[in-house]
Amino acid sequence: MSDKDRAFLLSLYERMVLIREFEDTVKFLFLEGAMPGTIHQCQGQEATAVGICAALRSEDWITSTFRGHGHALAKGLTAQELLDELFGAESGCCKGRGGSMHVGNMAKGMVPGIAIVAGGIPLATGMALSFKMRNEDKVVACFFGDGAIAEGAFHEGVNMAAIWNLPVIFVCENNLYGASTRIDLVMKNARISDRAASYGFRGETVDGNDVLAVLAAGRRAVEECRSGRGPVLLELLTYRRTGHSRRDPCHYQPKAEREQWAQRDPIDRFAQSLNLSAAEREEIHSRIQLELTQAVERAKAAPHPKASEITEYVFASPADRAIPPVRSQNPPEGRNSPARRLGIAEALREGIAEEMAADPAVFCIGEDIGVVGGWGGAFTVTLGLEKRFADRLINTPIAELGSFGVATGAAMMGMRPIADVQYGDFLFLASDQIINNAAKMRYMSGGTASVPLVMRAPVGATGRGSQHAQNMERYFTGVPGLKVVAPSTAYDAKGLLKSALRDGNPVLMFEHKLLYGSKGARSEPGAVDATSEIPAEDYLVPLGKAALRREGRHVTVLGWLLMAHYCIQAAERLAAEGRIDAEVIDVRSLAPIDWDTIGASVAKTGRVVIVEEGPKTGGVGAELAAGIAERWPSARIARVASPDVPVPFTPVLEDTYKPDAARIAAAVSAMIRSCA
Amino acid sequence: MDVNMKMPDLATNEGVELEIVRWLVDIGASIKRGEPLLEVETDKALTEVESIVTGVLRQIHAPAGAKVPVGAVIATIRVG
Repeated sequence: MSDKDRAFLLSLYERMVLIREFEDTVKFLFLEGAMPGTIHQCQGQEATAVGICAALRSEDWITSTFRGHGHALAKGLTAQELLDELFGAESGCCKGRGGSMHVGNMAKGMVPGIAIVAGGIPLATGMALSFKMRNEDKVVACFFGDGAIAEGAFHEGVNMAAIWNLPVIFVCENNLYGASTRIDLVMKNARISDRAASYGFRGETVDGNDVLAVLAAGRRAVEECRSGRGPVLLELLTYRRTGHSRRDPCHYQPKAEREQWAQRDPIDRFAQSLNLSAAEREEIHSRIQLELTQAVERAKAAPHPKASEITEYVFASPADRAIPPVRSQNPPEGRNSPARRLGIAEALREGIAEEMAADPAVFCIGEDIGVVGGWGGAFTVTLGLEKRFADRLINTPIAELGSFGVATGAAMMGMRPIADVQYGDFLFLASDQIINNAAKMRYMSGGTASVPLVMRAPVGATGRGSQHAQNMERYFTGVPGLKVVAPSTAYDAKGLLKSALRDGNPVLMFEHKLLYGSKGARSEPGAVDATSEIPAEDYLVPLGKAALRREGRHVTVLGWLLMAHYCIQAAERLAAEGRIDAEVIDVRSLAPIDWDTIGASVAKTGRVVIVEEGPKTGGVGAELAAGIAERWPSARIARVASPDVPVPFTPVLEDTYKPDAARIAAAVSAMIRSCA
Repeated sequence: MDVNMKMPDLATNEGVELEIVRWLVDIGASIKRGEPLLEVETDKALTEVESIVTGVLRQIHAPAGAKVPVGAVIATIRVG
């Protein structure tokens, strides 16, 4: 063995010792009561992280799910930045916003740890998709435990990586227990690497307590991924020598089993194969212990964030990104014609095409969005775009959790995906990725990760019964880190889509099925005209702004999407009757709410009627009402909404469910009468 | 240097006192960091508590059978 080889092997040994000593140090800090929060530790599993990360280049990436201290140290994060994070200090790798379960460092190729058991798997697939789309020679190693195999996100994420041959190494650290439950209680086939064959790619089971075996398997997998033959599933057999979390005494691990695995300790075994003497080992351990002791003292003294800084890092600010302009060589689609009258579906399609032409990072991902001979999504928004942007219309399996995770991962790597669902109701499937990953990543990373992700979802009761009809706005408007818009016109739809794409944060756009103006087989009975004159030049509609649709003196009427149209109809009806002059505001931005525009109107009229399609209880209207009551306590407030029932099918009940112009007008009249 | 070891926060429910079942090391004996020092009954299970430092056990502040709140000093260990 050359000196260089031995130095490399010693570096692996020292890295494993660093992880063991780090974990023990942290454990005793907890026992002393010196450290806040909880921890999930990896004593006994050091060879998996060190072996895999040694097979990677520094520009490759990892994701981690639980027991992430070892992954972080193996990827090159320092013990200091981890200890600072564990103590909640501003100098921590996530500025104290993440903590033990979310350690990561975007500058060192580790996204913040994902604490949803299989949540990192679709994310890693999306990161790898971005590398493939940009022809970059990078791979992602996605660490997760045996417990992740039973979650749907594993199936969806792994399947997409397989069908697109993506450079992901799925690294399953099989330590025999998901929390306290042994794997044979939760899987009939406990050989996890067998799963790969069912998706059509290679899997391999490796002795995860032999760092050189892990390294060799990692190198094989990296080589396959870099040459376009990914993904690979590596099952690394290992054992956790500590509790699942800090208060777990591990009584479910049989003593004999613990002792048997202790004989196969990865650090002891590697020391033997390196022929390290007891004195050499002692020197390494003592040196690392001393370094850690000093790091702990510094971490204890490191300054914490100020309480006044609690709202920092929720959103990326526009200054963080260059806005891709629509340049002369990528002019607006309508450049040769004057303003044209377009529906929402056509206007969105035009906006998407312009942004894709201007910025190669923009792509669409969803079900049925770019199938030749297909529909262009459920409501024709992307119809025909596959002819121009064949590589950037990513048709997914029917797997909303996976596809939104893929979009989030790609966005974190600098792409600008537009992810859509066919029906808003399916956002429940995707909501873990939207809420736990996309919306929180900026904050959990201490402002170092960005998720420039646009999401689109059709909503509204349209003769499809209860599960293709809900108004989903209520479920996503109270999610910190997420912006929500709901356009009611074609002009707004295109302008908001462009603002969303250039914003650099996750933006969810709700669209109403009766407003699309979809044509042919995809046209909707009962559709309302939402067409607009679309300018020939590039334009934006800013996020966060409501739109005054009709000026009036007596009462403010708030609505969005379809209800914005019905509010205007009601106001015109009341005006024609000659008694009531209603002001109509299209709320349009549901998160954040534009209190300035709403407040100016409420201050003038002193009366507000809030109109919402969807159950009255817990709706966006409740938030609007509370916000108005807090800010302008003398205002009179009433709500018009659907009854608290699932969306019914039969037309007579669906018509009753949905507020209409007559009901809105009646509510406005009732308010004026009661004030008289 | 003497290090005071406190009762660690092992309880699942906040405010629960933990019962010291028995001491596993005699006063005057040496102990290494990570070696079991005493047994504790939590609200969930019987569990061993490891010494937080390497040294000699000088003093036991709560005998077997005592119920002790989290954070109370239970032992003094002389280091170095």
